[in-house]
Amino acid sequence: MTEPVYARKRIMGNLPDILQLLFTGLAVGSIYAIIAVGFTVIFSSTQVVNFAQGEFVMIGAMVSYWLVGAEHGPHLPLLLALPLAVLAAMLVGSALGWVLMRPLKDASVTSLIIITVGASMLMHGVASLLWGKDPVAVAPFSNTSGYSLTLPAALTGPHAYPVYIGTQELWVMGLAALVVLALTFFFNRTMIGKAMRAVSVNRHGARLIGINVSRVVVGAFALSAAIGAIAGAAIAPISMASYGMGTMLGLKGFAAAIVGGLGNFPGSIIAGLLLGIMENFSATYLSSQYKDAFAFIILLGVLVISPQGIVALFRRRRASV
Amino acid sequence: MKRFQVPFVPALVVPAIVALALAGVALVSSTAQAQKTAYKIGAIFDVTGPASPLGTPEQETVKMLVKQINAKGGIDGHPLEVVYYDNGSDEAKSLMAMKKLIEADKVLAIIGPSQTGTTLAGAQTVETANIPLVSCAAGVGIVEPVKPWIFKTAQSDVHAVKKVLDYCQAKRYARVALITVANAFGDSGKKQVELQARGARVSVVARESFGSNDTDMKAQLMRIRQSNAQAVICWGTNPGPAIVAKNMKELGIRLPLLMSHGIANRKFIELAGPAAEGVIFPAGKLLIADTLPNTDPQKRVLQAYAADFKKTYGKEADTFGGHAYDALMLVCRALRAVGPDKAKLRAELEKTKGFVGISGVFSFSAKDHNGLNEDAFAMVIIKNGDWTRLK
Repeated sequence: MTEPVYARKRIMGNLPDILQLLFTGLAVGSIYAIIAVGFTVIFSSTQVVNFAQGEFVMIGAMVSYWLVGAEHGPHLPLLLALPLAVLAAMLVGSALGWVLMRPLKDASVTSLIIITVGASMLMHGVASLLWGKDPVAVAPFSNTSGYSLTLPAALTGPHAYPVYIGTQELWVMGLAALVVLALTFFFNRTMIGKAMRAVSVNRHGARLIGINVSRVVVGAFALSAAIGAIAGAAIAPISMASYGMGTMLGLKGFAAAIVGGLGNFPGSIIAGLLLGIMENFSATYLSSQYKDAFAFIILLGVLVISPQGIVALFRRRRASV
Repeated sequence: MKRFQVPFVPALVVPAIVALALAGVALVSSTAQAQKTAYKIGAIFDVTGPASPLGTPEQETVKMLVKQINAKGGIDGHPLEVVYYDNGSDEAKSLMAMKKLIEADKVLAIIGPSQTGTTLAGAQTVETANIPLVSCAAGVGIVEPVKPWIFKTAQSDVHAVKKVLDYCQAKRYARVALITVANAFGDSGKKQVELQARGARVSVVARESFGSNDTDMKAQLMRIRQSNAQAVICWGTNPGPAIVAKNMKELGIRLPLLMSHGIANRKFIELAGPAAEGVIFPAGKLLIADTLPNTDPQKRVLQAYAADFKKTYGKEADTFGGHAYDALMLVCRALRAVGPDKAKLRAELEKTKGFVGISGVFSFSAKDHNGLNEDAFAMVIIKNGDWTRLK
């Protein structure tokens, strides 16, 4: 009689913990998801995995820090700084895209990938010269820091902790959702978006029907940089910003992109969110020592079971392509 | 067209070589005119690369001190000459620099490098060449086991951990939770806490770690929240500990938060903001020089160094520069005592007793080549965005 009641209480007592992990996991996961989408946008139009993707995130974070909060910066309002940071990243992104498409248009995909690694190091180095090596604190988007949500005691038992809902985390999720919506609209309803999809389906075909492929590719780089910069500006108040922040975030985003099936738009979003949540749960319930390893173990596991990504796993079951 | 350009290159190069040669002659003749031969020592610091926040103030400190020493007539009338090398925070380059100093520059002693790795890279070379080296790095591996020719001035984390655990013992925290950064600094702190905990009657009830680039530590802190710890010890360098402090406040964990000397800088307060309030950590005394009692032997030395550095470079002196101050001053002191003989210098360094430096009061022995104890640290609490010494 007492046994199941106790068991239920134990599970329900963990409810605030589980909600907390879910919440923070979703926030970090949204960042991974939009970085993964950035990878996807470039991969589908060029077949190139852009390893400088994480640096776009860093540029978004550092430029918005410099515009808003830096001691010798212009102290702009956030509403102005955010678009400018995105614009800065887009400039860098299109420059990278242009280099890959024009002077290097005859290079193989592998060489191009290596070049993105080099570009990433270059951005890394330039950023450390521009902004120094110390991490910097970035002001959150809104003044209220967050809400402590106490669940009714009937649900959780007497000694449960409240769930902390951070405002910046809400911003992160909101912006991520907005990015996804905007991209869906862009790819389905606008001419450029459709052109990008055409290039990703068949490059030569696209060229034959009059699409300027190299312009589309430069556009894809700019778009992908913009997405990364938004992620960077949004996460910076939580994680702090530094010249080196892009590397690990980029790798996690890459893992999500692979798990989602490289080039698969909804797949990378789902994989990003899942990665953030699983990472968080494993840190609490397994071991925080292996938290980062966990992401990459998942990556390896998925590659073994389904090299086409998780979405392909479900599709295969439905026996369609 | 091209024919016109060919003679153009030598036309530029030849005068340049002549000018350089002339400058070289001028330089040699000016040093030859000095009354006594210069004492030449080498300095290797990690001025560029990832460890540049350490190496830069170290080199600046040495440059400033050398000017001061020579202005006062050098060491017993011998001008002090320092040959500088930047190892780029790279172990291979560090070794190269040591070889150059020993074989080409023929220096009497070496100070630096800034990091444990870059120091140990050349340890073997230094030992076989029989040349004294005073490192500015923190790792206890540099002096344990003792290498006869190698000394170091930075406090070891052994002492920092001792100070923190002493504090826990005084406050009767019998159970502590540990959260450390997953790199050499955090791992070493973790190992030391585990080693020393039993002696301090403290048990470690939770062990968590975070990556140096992690964005959020709530998951780890929730585990600590479930443990019955009475205090949290966080061992890391920016920005991780600042995120830990923030997340603890957000999760409503009200346990006392103890940290390492890795956050003994303004940056931590800036990063953690209001969450920094109440954080307690061991710090080198330079941080709180002005609030030390007048009876503290280091107070005058610390204040003088801080003021000189500020005047020369227009920025705050920091602990790292202090390590270089100690290294240079220890070598100078030995030079003054025994003159330019490497073996005698080594023996004299080892005999140093009660040298009042920036990192602490040094007393070396054949068994202890760091020469410091936990008194090199003071426990500090962050209050109103500033450091206050705990009595």
